[in-house]
Amino acid sequence: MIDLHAHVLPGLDDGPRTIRDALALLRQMADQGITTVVATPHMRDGHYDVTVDQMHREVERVNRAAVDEEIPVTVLPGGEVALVPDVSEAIRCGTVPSLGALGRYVLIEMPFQNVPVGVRQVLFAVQLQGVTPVLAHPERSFPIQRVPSSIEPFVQAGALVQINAASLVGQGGKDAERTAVRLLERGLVHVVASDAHDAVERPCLLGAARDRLVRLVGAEEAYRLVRDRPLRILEGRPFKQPRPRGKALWWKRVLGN
Amino acid sequence: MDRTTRTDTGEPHGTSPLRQAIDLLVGYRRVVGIVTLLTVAATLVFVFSATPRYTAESLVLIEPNKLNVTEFKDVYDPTTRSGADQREFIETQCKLMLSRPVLRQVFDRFDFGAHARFAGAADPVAAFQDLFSVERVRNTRLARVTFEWTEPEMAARALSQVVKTYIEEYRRRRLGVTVDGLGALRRKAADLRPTVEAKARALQSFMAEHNMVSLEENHDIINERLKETNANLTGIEAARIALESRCRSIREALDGKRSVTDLPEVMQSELIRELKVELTKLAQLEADYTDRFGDRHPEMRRIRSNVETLEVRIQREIEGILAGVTADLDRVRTQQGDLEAALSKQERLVMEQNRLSVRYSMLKDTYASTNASYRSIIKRIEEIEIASAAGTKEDNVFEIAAPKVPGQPSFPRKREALLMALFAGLVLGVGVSLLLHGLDGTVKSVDEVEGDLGLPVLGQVPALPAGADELHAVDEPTGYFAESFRSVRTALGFAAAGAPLRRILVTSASPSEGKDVTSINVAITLAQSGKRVLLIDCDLRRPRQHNVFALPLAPGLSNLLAEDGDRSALEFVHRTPVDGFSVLTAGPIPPNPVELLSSSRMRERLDELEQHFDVLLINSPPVMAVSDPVVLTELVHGTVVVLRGYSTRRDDARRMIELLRRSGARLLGSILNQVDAPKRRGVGYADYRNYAYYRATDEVATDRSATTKRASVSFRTPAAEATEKARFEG
Repeated sequence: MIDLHAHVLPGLDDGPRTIRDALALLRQMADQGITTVVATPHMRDGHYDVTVDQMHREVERVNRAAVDEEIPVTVLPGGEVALVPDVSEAIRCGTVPSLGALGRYVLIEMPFQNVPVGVRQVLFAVQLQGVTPVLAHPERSFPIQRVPSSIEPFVQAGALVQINAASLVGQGGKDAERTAVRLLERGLVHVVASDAHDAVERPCLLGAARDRLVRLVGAEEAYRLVRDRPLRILEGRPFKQPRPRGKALWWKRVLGN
Repeated sequence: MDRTTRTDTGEPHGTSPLRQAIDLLVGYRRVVGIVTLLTVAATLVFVFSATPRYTAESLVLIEPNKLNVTEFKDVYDPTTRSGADQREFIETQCKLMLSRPVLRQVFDRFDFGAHARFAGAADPVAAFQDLFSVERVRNTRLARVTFEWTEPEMAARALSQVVKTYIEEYRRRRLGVTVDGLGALRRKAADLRPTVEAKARALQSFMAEHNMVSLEENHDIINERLKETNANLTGIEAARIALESRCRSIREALDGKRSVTDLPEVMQSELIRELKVELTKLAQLEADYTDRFGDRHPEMRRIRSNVETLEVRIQREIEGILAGVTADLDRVRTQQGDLEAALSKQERLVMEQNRLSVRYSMLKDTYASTNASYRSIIKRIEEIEIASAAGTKEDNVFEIAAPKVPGQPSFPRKREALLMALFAGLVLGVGVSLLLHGLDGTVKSVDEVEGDLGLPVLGQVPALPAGADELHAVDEPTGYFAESFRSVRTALGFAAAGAPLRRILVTSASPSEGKDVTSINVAITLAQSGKRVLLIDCDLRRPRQHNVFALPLAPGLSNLLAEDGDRSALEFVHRTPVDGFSVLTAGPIPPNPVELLSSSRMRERLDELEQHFDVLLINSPPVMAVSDPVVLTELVHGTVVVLRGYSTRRDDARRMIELLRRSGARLLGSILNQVDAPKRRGVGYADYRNYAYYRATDEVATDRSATTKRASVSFRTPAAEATEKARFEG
């Protein structure tokens, strides 16, 4: 599996404090069958103002340590970018990193409290640069929890959606779990990632989430969510995004439309 | 728009009413199928859950001609033999056959009253009557009677009984005896029977009591005896009387009142006669002596004493005779007394006998008379019964065919019911289809669009064949699909005449009506005719064109409009495999498409692109959903609307047209989409293929410069073309 969203760099944000903690998390990921993880420290979120350089340095350090410790997990550069009005400007200037540092996909954190009015304009600006926004864990955002379908315009406009493994297995609360399942059912989810912070407090649950996904959407789609699409994103290739589908009416399902 | 402006689109379909009807039904085949299926299914459920009923049938021959006119007078027998009267007679018999009294008898006989079916009925016999039917078989003297019942054996038995009862009843009527009359006779016989028996018993016990086995004989013997006794008594009486008179005579003689000589018995006695003789002699002597000796003479005295002695001796003798006679008399008297006693006894006997015989004959007579009337009643009943059971020579009602036990239920008849259901289902399905068609407000035909909407039809194009992609016209340039679009192209050419037509907007009323496929294929055919065509995906809400050509969505139109960069618009244009046909994808989806599309940048960019292309074909979102197309109409020379047959609502289409007209759009016409009737017609298809082929070969020559890699592979060899053409022309 490929984990597109995890805080594995020590001492930068609310992720692991030390390199030991970071390695413990990586080991946990390896145990669950993760081969590649994108380090996504918080970027420009007001609390942790990690710079791209910092991030790159830490990625290199962690990778080296992992090799030393013989942990079979590769850490790639990336970042969880806060949704700020000038995010497209920041992307253009390179002050925030893209996933895998390829300049094609950027992980953007959905605000918890509300979805600001101009978000679509901001995302459009990002897309005009040929960059596809990947919305991080919208299932934890209260407005989305209230009305899960309100994520649909973003998806229609070309944004991708990533949800947390923890939410799927119930560790993020009932509402987050319910919303995650709802979004999955509607075909509004493209990627599932761990959003792990350390090995203990907010561990990686992608293995468990994958098992749940197999039951929820079938093995094929489950592996698309945790392996195929993340891989495509890290290769910088575009892909036909799945058309969001409404809840099919039962008779249409029976009669095959 | 005037109908006369209808463009000739090379429309290959006839629109005869029959064709339309067939197309309509073919279009609604699923509805027809479902309705039929439901009807048949419902019938199946009913047929297999209903209690089966069996109908027994009997034929009865009623012959009015055999009637003896003089003999019958009542309504049952016609007095004339006209056809009408015969019919009337037969019909009367039919009614009588199922008349209440007849059915009542059968109903009671088989105890139908106990059956659950008649449990709640107010008038069970009437309900029973309803299960029967009788009708005259046309032009015959036959009546067909039927009875429907749940048990086949009972159906036959009850019906048989009805016919039998009716025939008996009929015969009885002819004999003048109704059931009631016969009943009265039977009752009377039953009443008489105990009387007769009582009388017979009384007679018998009387005879036994009085030992009258030989009463007559006894009677004779007693009479005989009486006579004999009487005779004896008479004899004895006579003897007694004789004896009494003798006795009297003798006593008289003794008393000297009469001469002894008068008495024969006395005279019969020898002794007396001798004594008399001696006495006479003595008297002689005395007389002689008296005269000679006188009285005192001793001789005289002796003589006298002798005379006295003789007289005394005679006296004694007579007394003796008297005693004998008296003894006889006494004996006879005793005898008479005995006889008299016997006689009186016998007379009593005879009287008794007479009394008995009077009683006997009385008993005998009453018995005989009662018995006789009883016998006569019985005989009458028997006569009637024999007559009604066996029929008489002049019988004119016969049971021709006795009811058989029906093997198959008459209800439900599975096969007939299912066939009926199938037929009814089909009819119902067609009805429902017509209803749906009437209620269905969608556009369906060219006539409808041109007539109702007043919009010329540029062409009628079929749905993409199953499994084909949007570039089907390229893959199969000789097919009906490609041919339809070439017709559209031709029509567009005519529509453009006289005015520049370099920017064409393609839109529709609602989503999913085939804008993408239509605009792409119009673009392809335009490109194939040698034009440089750019298809611009102006659906900035749900772009799709890039998918068709496997192009990235972005960058595209929205980049052109949103970015200030001075890059040439051409940099964003993608070439397609079809020569002369390029595509500009939508680009990232903006939050404000209308703003972008109505910006001055949009106009500038279109002007810029127009320098590089002959035709800009602009694809837009649906009119009814958003205002993008209205904004776009200001930027183009003409607008083409796509209508999807059996899907686009006429009202929507009308509103769309109004909206577009109000915004000043120049409406070129419509393309009726997904109307692929020819494909459904098995027979006609080959013709259309040939037609398409003909048109294709015609145009391929001019299109050759524009042929694409994809198109060229499916062209036929010249030889095949030649034969095909020859066949068409021949």
